Amino acid sequence: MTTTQHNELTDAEVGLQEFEKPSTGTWTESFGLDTGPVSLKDIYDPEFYELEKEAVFKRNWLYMGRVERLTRKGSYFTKELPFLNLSLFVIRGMDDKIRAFHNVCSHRGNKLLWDDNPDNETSGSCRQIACKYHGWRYDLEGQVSYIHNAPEFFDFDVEQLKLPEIHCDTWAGFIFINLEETPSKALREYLTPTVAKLESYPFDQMTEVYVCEETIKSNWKVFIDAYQELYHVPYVHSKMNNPDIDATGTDKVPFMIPMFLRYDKHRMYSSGGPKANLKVRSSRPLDELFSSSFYGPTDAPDVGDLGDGINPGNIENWGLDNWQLYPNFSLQNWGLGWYVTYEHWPVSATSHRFVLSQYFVPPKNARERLAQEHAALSVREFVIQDVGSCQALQSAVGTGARDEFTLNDQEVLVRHLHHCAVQDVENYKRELEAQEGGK
Amino acid sequence: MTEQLLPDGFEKLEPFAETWALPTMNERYDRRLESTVDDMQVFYDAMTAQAEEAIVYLNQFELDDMPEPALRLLWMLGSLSAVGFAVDIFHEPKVTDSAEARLAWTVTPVP
Repeated sequence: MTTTQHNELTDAEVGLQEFEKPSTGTWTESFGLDTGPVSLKDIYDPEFYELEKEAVFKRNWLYMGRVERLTRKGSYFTKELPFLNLSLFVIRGMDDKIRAFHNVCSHRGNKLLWDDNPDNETSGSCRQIACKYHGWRYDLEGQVSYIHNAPEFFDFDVEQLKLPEIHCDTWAGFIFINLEETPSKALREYLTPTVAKLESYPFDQMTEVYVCEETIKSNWKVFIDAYQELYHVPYVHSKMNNPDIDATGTDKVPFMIPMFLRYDKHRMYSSGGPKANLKVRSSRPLDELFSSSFYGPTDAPDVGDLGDGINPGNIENWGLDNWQLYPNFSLQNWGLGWYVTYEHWPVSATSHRFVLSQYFVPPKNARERLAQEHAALSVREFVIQDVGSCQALQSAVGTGARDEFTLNDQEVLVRHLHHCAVQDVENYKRELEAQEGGK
Repeated sequence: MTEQLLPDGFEKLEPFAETWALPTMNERYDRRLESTVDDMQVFYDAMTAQAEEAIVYLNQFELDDMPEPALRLLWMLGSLSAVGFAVDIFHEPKVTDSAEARLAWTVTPVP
């Protein structure tokens, strides 16, 4: 460890301390991954993308939304997933159970729940699910409850007319679906015990939400990668650093992540967040004015205990966990009492729909309200920068100029995500071959 | 003098109210993109001079029961936050190197 002084601060204070590697020697090896170059063909190859839809998105649990969107019996929201040729809705039943159904009427197959434009998602509340086309209605559990001019129909079995249901389960207030005929794992088992423990975090207190969205010209995995390492931060986000401290060339602060952990196909890192690096701490006059920054409102709300799921690697000076729940859902828990989610929905092999949601404890006054808006805006400015750099990466890798890329140990999560997607596709191909062989 | 838009005591901010007292975060960001950094700097300087005073003033109200002039002041503080990055970091209205990315807000709190 060096002992250089930075404006009277010790190395440890500015976050330049060297972090211990795991006992296996490297993070990459601790994940069970090899350290060689990687192919990134999985971010542009159309053939891979077609297989990935089946192998990844139809065989893993997919995040749909928060339970707070379904406040009462009959509350629903729809989800349009055209890349899977799927339209569905999630609804709270009379028994308070949350279910997911295909958004398709059993009569002539019209879309059941939509407003104005059937391509757009919608939400609302209803006592029965009514088809706009011929007025058929269903109860909140999907059973047909009214058929207009029923005597004109021929023999039918009411049971057969029930809306097709999709496997749906909730964890920590996050609603997930699974498109397998029978899920190979229940949701909790899929998440693994350590990830599941995160449900003790007080998510339910953080109901003030800011959402922004964009269709981005990069493969869904490329944009996830932007949140899986901090190696890019001093370059892509160099202007966000404190301009009063030199941050150029080799002096740029190495944003080292001190802890990476793998849980089956999921992965996470912990870091100090606001406690890690002084160069971005309260770096702007407005951060001080609004008592807020990229790290969240400085005066954390009293949310009580943060639960026993955070900081599973027990790092000192903990400030942030970044959980990457396979395949396309990320969850960032801040020590300052707020959290952020990222959703990445494929549109094509080289584009995807990105949804960023930021959750705060409802503000009690204008000061808290403005601090939250300032944090939400600050995060968005960083993310907008990431969009530019990810689109640049997509178009460059997509030229096929080379097929081997070099990742360092701090990029272990990037390596792991692509590894998991490739493995899922390989396994699926083997299944297809076995089926072919069995014929 | 046209109609007073802001609460008493914030007369110096009155010239900016028509441009920057915008009710939604998308409108505030759009206004940033269509403004010059010089114009935003003038707004930024005027706002920062009275921002703390404005926040203290607004804190007396319930968030869901704010008089119109107070609401406008709240929105202008939101605009200050929105233009801040353009003024003191990027020195251009858009986020540098961001292609055409905009990340439109689809859910935001009211007010």
